[in-house]
Amino acid sequence: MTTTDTPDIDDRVADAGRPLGATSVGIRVVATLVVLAATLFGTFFGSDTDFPAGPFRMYATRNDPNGIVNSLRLEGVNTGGIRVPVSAGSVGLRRADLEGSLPKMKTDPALLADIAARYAKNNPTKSSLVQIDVVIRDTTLHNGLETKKYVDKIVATWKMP
Amino acid sequence: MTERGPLLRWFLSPVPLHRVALMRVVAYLFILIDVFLTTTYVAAKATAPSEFYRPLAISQLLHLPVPTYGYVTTLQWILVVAALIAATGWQPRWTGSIVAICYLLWMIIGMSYGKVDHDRYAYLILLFVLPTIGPAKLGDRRLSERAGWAFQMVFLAIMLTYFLSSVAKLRFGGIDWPTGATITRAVVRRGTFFSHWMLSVPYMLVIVQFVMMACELLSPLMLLCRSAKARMLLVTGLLLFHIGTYATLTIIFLPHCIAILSLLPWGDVRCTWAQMRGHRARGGAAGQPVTVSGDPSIDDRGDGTDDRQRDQQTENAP
Repeated sequence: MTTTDTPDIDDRVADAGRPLGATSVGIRVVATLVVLAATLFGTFFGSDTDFPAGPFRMYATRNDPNGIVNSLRLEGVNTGGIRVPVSAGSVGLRRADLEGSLPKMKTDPALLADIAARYAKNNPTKSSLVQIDVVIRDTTLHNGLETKKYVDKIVATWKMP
Repeated sequence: MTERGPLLRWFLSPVPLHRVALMRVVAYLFILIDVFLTTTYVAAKATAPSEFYRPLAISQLLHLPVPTYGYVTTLQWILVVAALIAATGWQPRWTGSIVAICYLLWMIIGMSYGKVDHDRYAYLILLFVLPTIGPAKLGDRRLSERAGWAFQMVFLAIMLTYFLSSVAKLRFGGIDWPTGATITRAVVRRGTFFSHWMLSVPYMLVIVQFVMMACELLSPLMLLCRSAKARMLLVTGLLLFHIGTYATLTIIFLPHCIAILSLLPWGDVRCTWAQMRGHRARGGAAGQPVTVSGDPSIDDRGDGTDDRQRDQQTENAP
């Protein structure tokens, strides 16, 4: 290979056309190892609270093919006495956020009171809620197939005092 | 410089600066789509009930503030403005770093209310490595090792997203995860017209789970895709998988898909097509400097020249 001409090198492009120096390579090797170590540690020993280095556990839980699939929803009763659906999004949350807090919702009514307050603030055009029910739909599976059998049960309730 | 081993050469496989400039535009403009359209649950935390806030370990470590309306909206606008500026390529080290840090803080808010996703690991890595490359212009086909390291990191992160999900499935679901009803549950809860029928076909979803687990466990093999053609096939396959997941489960790893785009041989497509047509490609974009024999990007590398680089060199030889 022969050098035929020397084209202009844009000096601001620090390495265009040049191999990286030992220090630059060293920093990159260390950064790679740190990220890799954190990610692997999270995968094998971490939990969700270790985000962004936690385990990649979406869909990692095994469900029993003859078990029950549950899904949570909120239903409210407004000041007019009408039962209305309360979506997780209408109070700034995701369904899975609510499901994660289910044990606490059952024991601590303050959570549902907080949701009622949020619903009123976030949805000023809708009438406010005097009652919130946490409804769980249990769908029974048989050999991994849906049986069309389901039960809705109210697992927590808050009523405006 | 001492001789580099094959692993280090792989990690620093040079990439045209053109690809960097292009991915900056794509990655930074995607922030706007993410914030305003596809990941709106983060902005919604400005008006979420505080009783549901559960600080992550990193929030406690760095003493991050509890998300309030003021914090969430301020961070949102800094992120959006920084992304718009970064997309122009101005001061990429500074603007890119601000975007990366703000986006991480943004996602920390999103994951602090009970549900934690892993759909943007590779995109976060992409945002953090882009600023390390320094300035890059569209059409500049000179090769850069800085860019090479950055893009290999993203490639690695994309692979790990699949591989480590299978490890998590084995860890949390157990060795019999594929015979369970995890996807059945997902279809029951968030299935669509394209997937509800699968709930009544015996073993269908178990087979799907076996295939998923096998593909994820074998995902490290994707790192072998080095030629432009293999990369294009890989990207097509991965994107089809994610589109399929969206059609059947209404779940899309959109930020991850943006990171996948960085695998495409953007800078080399022109010459690959030219090769296919049997022409000898000589140019970059009109009016732009072209990597030619004599350019130090080729000639200064007696030690670590890899196949792709040799290809490029042959391609550009006068």
